[in-house]
Amino acid sequence: MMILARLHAFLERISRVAVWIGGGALLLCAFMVSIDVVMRKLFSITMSGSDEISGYAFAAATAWAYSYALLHRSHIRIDALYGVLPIWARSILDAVGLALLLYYMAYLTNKAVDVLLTSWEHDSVSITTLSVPQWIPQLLWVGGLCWFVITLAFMLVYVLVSLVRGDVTTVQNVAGALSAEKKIDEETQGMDGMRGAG
Amino acid sequence: MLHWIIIILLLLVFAAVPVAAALGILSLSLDELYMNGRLSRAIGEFTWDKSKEYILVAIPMFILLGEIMLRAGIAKRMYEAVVEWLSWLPGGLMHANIGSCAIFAASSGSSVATAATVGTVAYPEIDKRRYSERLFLGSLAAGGTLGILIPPSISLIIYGMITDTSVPELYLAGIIPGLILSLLFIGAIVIACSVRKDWGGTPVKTSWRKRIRVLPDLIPPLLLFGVVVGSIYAGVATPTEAASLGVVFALGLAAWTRSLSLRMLREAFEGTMRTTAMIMLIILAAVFLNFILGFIGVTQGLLDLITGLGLTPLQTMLLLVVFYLILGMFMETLSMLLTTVPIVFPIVVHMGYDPVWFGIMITVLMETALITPPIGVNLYVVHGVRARGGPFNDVAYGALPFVLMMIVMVGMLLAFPQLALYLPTMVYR
Repeated sequence: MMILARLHAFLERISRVAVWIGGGALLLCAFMVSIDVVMRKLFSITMSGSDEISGYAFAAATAWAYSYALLHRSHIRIDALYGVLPIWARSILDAVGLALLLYYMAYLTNKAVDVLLTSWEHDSVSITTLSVPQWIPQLLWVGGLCWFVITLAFMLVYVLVSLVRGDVTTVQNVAGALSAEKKIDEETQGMDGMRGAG
Repeated sequence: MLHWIIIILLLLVFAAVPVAAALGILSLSLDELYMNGRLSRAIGEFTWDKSKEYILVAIPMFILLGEIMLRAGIAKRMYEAVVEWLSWLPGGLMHANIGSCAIFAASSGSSVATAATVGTVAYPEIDKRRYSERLFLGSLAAGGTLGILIPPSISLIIYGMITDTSVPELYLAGIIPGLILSLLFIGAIVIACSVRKDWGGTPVKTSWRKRIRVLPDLIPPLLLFGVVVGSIYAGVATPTEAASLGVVFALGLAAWTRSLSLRMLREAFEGTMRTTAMIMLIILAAVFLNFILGFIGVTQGLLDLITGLGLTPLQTMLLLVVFYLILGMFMETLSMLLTTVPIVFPIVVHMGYDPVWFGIMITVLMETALITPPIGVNLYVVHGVRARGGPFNDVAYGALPFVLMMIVMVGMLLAFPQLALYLPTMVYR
């Protein structure tokens, strides 16, 4: 059991770093796009490509953030009914939800790998002035999807093992749908910083 | 076939299966049943194309913009400035709640961010001035919903993408209804506090000198609005470019208020990416379901069914309004938008309604869903900022007068479609 908890913490750490990198990449894109707009407006200089690159950054950053959202239980689940069920029933639904999400994502990721392999074999490049070889952004994107599938598979094992041991508290802590109170903590976590600054 | 789709979807969704998985599994099974799984083979290519769609890049940008604003301490000073200007009305600071939300909404694309930001700043005032706690909390929850109606709006981007409607037109269309709805909220507070004097709290003392002195505090949010929304209508920028300009501008503001740090940026990134991942996972699944539904002819089947009922367009629209009001009590709003619009939109257009008008209509209905119990995200958010705690019902009751005003707004949109369509018609058509 200890080892599962430690693995959980490890996955969270990696996912967090991935989110920092992804967020940083998007911030750089914001600067790049802004410079593009200003140059176009003020000096009539068109630097094409910032739109294409930010699209790639967005796809990859999002894919790498799925795990982080999962580990922080942020993926939306409708808890109108779930909220009134006893804890053991909720824990079973947590496992079912994870299994279905894993099935869907594994299917999608499998097809995404095909897309990547096809681009590699055919040396596909984008039909723009940049002519970006498609396998480069696709590799980053598929990497994020694979990481998400790994995280999902681990979470399913973690939840099932905890269920078998009758440890429903752990199930709720790592995979339960966020209760109203928890959601607020996550939404308003920046507030302390704001109070300090304001 | 149709009733099975609805039953399976409801079953999965209410079994608390992650909404994205519910939509994804439904797509895969429908394809397996009706097309022998032929369409799902393209899901990789399909998802890649949508994942890098440039218009969607606006979503993380607007979220990042909000996260930076939240941490830059601009909201508190803005609130204090609005207090000076609006609190002479019966109901005092509650008008400042609505006003601040409207102003904040003009640089934020999210209702949750709007309610959380203004709510945190405003909450301590309840005790100081002895307001009716219920109405005060309700005004915050309701005011926050303006975030998705007043441009920029993340919901309108998503609506624009799944229905192929122009986002700049939707943004223009949201301005007048957003202002009217703010006035309706203010009217509701004035009426409530004129009937029950004890709800209105002790008045705020102010003077014209004070009012003039706080004006500079309104400049940062208004400048940001100018940069983000102004650049779209000056024809300088697309929504994604405008959002990027907004991010850079907000970062500048944060540097100016000395709240910029590596730690602050990391927190902003975590918040941004968590929300983006949550939204995108559902969007991608919903867009694929949309594609499958169109292919196997569900959309056409539903269209035939509805036209077969022989209802007039107005009757159909009223039916839809009731449907959304009820569904909105139980469903989270984004999921509601993404699961229903692919099915409902073709019907609405077939009935002769304008896509831009319907975008505004459904946004007002989403706002209602945000503050109707038991599932109303903004109610949770405002409940969450109550340091002292208290029953959840307080917020839900307090929001009721504002729910009524939203229904009035729905009626006004039905009676006068020009409220939404005047600006886009003038500028674009």
